[in-house]
Amino acid sequence: MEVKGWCMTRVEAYLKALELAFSKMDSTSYWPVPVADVAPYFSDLEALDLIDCLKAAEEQGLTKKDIASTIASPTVLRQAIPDILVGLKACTPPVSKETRMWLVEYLFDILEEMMVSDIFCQGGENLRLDQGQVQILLEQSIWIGAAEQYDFVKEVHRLSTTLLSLMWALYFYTWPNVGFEFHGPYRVALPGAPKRKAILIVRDFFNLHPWEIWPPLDTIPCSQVRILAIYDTALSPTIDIFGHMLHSGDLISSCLAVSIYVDSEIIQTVYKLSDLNTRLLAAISEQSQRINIMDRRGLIEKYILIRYYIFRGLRTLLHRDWKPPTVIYQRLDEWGLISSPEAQEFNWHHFEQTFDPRNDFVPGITRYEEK
Amino acid sequence: MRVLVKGLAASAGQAQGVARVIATPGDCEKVQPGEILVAVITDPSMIGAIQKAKAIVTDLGGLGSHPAIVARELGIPCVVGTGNATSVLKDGMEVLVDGSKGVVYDAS
Repeated sequence: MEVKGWCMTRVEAYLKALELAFSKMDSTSYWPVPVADVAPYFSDLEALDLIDCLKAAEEQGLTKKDIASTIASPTVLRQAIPDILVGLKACTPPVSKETRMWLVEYLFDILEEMMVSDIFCQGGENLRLDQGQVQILLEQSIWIGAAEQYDFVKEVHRLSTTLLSLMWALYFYTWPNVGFEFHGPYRVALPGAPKRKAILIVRDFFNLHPWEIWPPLDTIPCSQVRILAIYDTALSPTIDIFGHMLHSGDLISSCLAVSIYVDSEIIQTVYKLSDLNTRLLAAISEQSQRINIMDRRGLIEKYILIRYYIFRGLRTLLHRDWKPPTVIYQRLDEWGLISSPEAQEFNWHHFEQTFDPRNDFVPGITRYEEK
Repeated sequence: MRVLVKGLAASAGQAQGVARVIATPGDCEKVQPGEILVAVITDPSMIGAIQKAKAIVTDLGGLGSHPAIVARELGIPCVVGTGNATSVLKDGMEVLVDGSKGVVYDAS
């Protein structure tokens, strides 16, 4: 990538994308437990094991495309990379810079296999589909126009918020993209009006039943929901490196047409959408009650299990146990519960040092020096 | 109009209504359609109440927080990261939420 006459490495591009995302995010609410209170128990072990898994995968002849197919979404991989990096830097004995760079570049290569746009979403695009695939999607979907059925469009967006909340309830605030991905914006023509330029956003909720990490929720009536929504170009939606969608103007009034499939079955009535929403709200309530009665240790263990769930496909492909090793639980026993310091005012330089694989800076361990 | 609280403009638009401060999970059931939901932060268990609200105001959170994300999807105004909304705003106060400017005004 050429920027102002010099060649930006992928690490630099990655850090730029992180800076942009963090600058828009401001403070975050760590629900139900802050990552800094959990990462020390597992992040070094998980990062080392990930290196071992990727080397084993190479020895077995697996391609990066094979490995990419085991990961739920590019966004969750992008979200995991900072976590993995801090884990690598915290290892005892230390992991060399060369090894860190090898892993990071390897993960960037996997992202390349998953996307057709810039892997760090610079430019606000998170594109999974090429133009041909988008065209097929447009032609094969049954569209409901906002002009004819505004209530339906409104209900679809309401359902989306319910599904997003379910993702948070199942995967906590850090890893909801284990279960869903927003991708786009794709430049399209409005179906039925080929001269009308528009934008397609795909909301894929592909894992509503993570039975490996939670007991089944009988109230969840489906496993997957796909929402296709076409908007006026004035909405100017963007998706950042962490999968956050931002836009100007009002989402619903900018919507021109929608198409929604639940377990591959088309939904075309407001009644069916409302019924699904009501059932999912009940599921969230049930799941929230489960979380609310968990003690802090239980929450930390669950968080770690969800974190390991991200690479379960890779470890399963290698015939390994994907769940956290017992040494993590021994650490929990020995160290007790730790609490991270109060969040400081946002300082990008501190984050940059933390997430740059080329240096040895570890937050909380290395002395931080102001730039 | 008098400014009551300021925060981060998380979801554009304006909405006027009666404030409903959520202090405990049980308070979610008190939210009536068209009210302004005020909380320290929202979590998934509050989504039913959020879907009734006309706008959201929170003490904590950024553009990637739960209230910000769901407000944008619902197309309702949202101001997050105010630091003091749950202290300043009281149940029953008539307020105007400007989600484009990140300001909540006294509309009584």
